[in-house]
Amino acid sequence: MIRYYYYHILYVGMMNIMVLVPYVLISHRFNGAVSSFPLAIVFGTVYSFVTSAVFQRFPGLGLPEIYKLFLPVWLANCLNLIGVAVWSTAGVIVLFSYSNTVGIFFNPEASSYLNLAIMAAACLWAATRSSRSVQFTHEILLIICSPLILWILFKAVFSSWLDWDAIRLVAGEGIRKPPSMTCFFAATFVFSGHMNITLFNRLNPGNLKFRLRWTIPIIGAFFLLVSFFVPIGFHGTQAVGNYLYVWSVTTDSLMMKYGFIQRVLYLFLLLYTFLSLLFVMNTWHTGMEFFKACFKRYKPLTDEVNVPAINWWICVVLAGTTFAYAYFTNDMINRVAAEVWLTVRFFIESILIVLLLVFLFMKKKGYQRRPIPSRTQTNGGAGP
Amino acid sequence: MIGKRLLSVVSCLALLVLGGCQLKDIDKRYFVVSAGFDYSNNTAKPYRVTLRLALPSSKVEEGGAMSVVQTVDAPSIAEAVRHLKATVDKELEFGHCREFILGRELVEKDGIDTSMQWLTRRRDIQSVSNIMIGEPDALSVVSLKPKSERYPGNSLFLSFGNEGTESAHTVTTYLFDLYRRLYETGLDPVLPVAGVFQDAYKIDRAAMLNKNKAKLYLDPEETLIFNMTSFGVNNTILVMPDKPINVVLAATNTKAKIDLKGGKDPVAVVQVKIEGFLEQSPPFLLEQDWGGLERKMGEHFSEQAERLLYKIRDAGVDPYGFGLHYLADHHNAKGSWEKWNRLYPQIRFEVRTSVSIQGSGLIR
Repeated sequence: MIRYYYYHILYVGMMNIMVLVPYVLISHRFNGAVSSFPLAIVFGTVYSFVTSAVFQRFPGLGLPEIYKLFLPVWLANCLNLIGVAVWSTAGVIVLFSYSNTVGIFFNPEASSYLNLAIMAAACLWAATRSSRSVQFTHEILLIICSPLILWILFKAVFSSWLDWDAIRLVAGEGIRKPPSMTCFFAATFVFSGHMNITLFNRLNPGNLKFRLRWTIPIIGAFFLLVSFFVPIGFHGTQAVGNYLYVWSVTTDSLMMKYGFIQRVLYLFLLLYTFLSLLFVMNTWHTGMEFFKACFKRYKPLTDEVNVPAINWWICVVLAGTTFAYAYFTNDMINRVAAEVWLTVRFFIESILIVLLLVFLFMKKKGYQRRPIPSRTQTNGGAGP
Repeated sequence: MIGKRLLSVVSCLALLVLGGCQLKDIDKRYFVVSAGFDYSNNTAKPYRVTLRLALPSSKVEEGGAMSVVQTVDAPSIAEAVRHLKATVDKELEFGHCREFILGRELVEKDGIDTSMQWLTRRRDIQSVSNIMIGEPDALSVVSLKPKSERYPGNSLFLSFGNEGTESAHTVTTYLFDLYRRLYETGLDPVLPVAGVFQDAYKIDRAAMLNKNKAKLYLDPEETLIFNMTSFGVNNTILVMPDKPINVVLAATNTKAKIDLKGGKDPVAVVQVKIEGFLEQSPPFLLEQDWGGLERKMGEHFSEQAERLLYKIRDAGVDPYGFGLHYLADHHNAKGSWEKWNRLYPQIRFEVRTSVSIQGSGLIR
């Protein structure tokens, strides 16, 4: 079961490319991107350890249920709504940047709303499923695409066209500059896979031990360094700043000479279609469940066979928001929005970490408002 | 209930059909296989763009490649390509075009910058396209139709990299590499020079650019040495004059590494490791003095390479990236780039070559 936890860590690490993290970092490459990395690694690791340690002590409970244990209803609902906002906007931003990138490289002649419509339909379907289905979908998609993504990343790292002098220059100069806060916020995103436990802890059994947690800083640091330094190695210290779709162009600089198609770019974009679908599915599903948790009659079910109609309504609203967002913004505004989102996300995450530690303290002292609810059905939902 | 299900299935299937919207069929497209940019000496329309368009054919055989060449003059490359569309009946498709030829006159008079802006901005042009200088102009290189082509345009791209022929005289420059060199501090662009020679392409020279314009053209022997010392290209040769015939080593493996030694008065050290077999030699030469021959060949190569390095240095270009290496060593500290610009014109080079001969072939 612990593998489901690490799937989230792994996929968010790979997903940073679509959330424009490399773009933010590379635009600050000479003023403080590199020196913010050690800080980000420390913060990301500590946060992951805290969340996993706290949620281990509340087995089978998601974040809304924990709120209910300790907080008055109005405050719990407010916090839930903040969660809805943060999670859902992430899905909206990623969906838009994905459809934009695909529109540019895959199908330039078609309307960008067409790409968005097809992708939004898939995300809508995936996100409305029960939590258990979402988790299984996550596993399947990740197992399909992560070997190939890692293959592309390693192909890039070991390419003879990678200029190590450029990497050394940026690393050597950057580490001597004071860290940039924007870069710090962006870089911590790579580690924020642990946040998905806030919902998916509902599926975790009581005796779950979080083993292998020492791998989190290694996985995170690997993806962070690769997604920042490989484009610099391929495009040089100066020209890399001119590219808007920096990772798409970097994978386009690789070649599969005897491959089915020579341009690695198409394989890469196809894999990131899966990853984006995964990301939007997870974020919208989480947002949806948090929203539903605001209602009094809501029961945190994880294994429904027939999902309630409210799931569809919430996700349709989110999909509609994406269309409205796509209509009113453009690529440049989206980049700013992504940067703002990365910053806000870090603050919310920090507040949540503090709250969780407070909850842990309250639990030890016995300041609970309500008893811990008995575990809801876990028989796969097959029973009546 | 069944009606509702059916409706949802049908509407999902309808989504699939959407993918075909606004898409042009393959038979309504012209595949551009190579493109050439020239300088027309007409100030109103300085750019002459030549495109070679493949005619799709049902059979694939040597000499069966059919193509047409279209050319037009315009104030800019983008306008020229748009204008060219008026002369053809199908949509131009650049997705398969991997050869871009810049005319020699264009590179000398106008520079590569304007062409690069167009090439890197276009989303359908591959970053692994080969860029070269066309001699005497791009038009003559683009309009050549070699008899050995299986399908239009493949002759030219097989010449580069190690896809088809592995020629040691051919410098391979990809679009992303050229773009990086165009902007990088301390690393200058280098381009292969392609000419037409008896119904085939001859790509055995290289041009060194000072960012935008060509400063130095290497002859084939120098290009070979440049390729070995800069890119570590495999399958090259190493020649040492001797009597009655020259000693020729077929190098199967070449590795090169640059380094800067010394603090105040740095020496640029190029370490080259060459492995290979003798391909031509006077009889019994190797067994007389194996180590001595290796050393002599190494010294001879170092001498040639140093001469080339000084020539490149005196032309004021830095295709090896010594400057970038210097900046990386000094963490790009303030003033180090200015310091390097003062240092480079007087820098000394030292090439250390270690040749390892693995055998004399099948005979002694």
